[in-house]
Amino acid sequence: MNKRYLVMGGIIVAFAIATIFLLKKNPKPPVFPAPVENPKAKGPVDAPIEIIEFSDFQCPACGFAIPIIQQVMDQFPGSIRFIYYHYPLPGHRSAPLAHQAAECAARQNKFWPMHDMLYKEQRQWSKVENPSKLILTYGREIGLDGKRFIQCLTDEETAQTITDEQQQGEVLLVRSTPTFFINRQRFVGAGELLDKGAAFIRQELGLDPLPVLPVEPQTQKTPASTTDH
Amino acid sequence: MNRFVKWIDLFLRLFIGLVFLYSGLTKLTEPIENFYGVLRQYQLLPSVLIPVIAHVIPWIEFIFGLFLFLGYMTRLSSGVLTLMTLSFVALLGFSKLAGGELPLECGCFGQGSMIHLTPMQVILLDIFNFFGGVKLLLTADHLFSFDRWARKGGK
Repeated sequence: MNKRYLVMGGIIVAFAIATIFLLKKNPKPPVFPAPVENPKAKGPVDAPIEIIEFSDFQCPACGFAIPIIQQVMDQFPGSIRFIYYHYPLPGHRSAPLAHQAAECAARQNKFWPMHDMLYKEQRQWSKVENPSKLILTYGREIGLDGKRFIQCLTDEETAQTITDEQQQGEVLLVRSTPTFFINRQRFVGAGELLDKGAAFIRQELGLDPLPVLPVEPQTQKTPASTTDH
Repeated sequence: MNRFVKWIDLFLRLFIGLVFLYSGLTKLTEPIENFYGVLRQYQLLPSVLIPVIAHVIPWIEFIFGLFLFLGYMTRLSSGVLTLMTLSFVALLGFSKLAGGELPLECGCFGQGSMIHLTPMQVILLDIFNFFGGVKLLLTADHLFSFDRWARKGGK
């Protein structure tokens, strides 16, 4: 192999690397103002850790993530502000209605009961052709004002709130759910949240890292994330 | 006939090169955490290896895809990419055999790309790429390649 041939190879590689660095994107969420009254947030407003979750009610991986999120929140009591963002995936037929229902519940300060209900009953409502009846039942069960709830389910302004949040996710290159931003750092999937996210929180809080424990075989298989295609 | 085979080789080289080039490019320009999420869907991969794989694989795809496309180190590039193709098929196959559910979308082209393939479609593409890669590996001379140009002394 002659020298000129190798130099040409080096130029090709250098050009390739430069192209990647020019095109590389990793947008981070802006520092959102923290409204005190956010029905889709939990935890103290002045918590040092902010977790934003982009999630889809019809995505099984998001349902599996709930106990993991709770586990992480329980590890750092009082230190986390958790905020939910709507991110209905295009392939999920019933997701828009579920998100609308959750946003309507939020307007009656019952977002979290509806959130929990939708994930608990996900297998049920996501399988039927038209889940409207089931969604209305869930609204009744969590004590929503039925009339307001029904009106809200077709309200365009409510739908726009969901679209706005979804668009924020698209700008941030959210490709699958659940995607988390912990103090603006991205973690994709519940597994990443548990493994790296928790370690990152410890680091952010100035705590010592936990000792590495031997890895045990996985007993329950859970999907890590659901892609949007 | 020989001429016809050369044109087939050219098509294979450009096609396989472009597949890997695009696959690497889309992964490298996206946030790497998105690719971590894709790799985590394959439960056979140990989680400690995920960051290493996520950092290394896209660069190999991109650089050797570009090399193959340009016909630079054509045989080495086709050899490397053929081995990678084999490892992808093995990962998908073993994941399926181990009883794990394959993801709905393989994530092979990066999640922000225009191409979205199911694992089954990817296996078919990989089989094509494998045989195409072997054919390129066994071919010494390639039309419109950097290697040919260099062999002729850059004329």
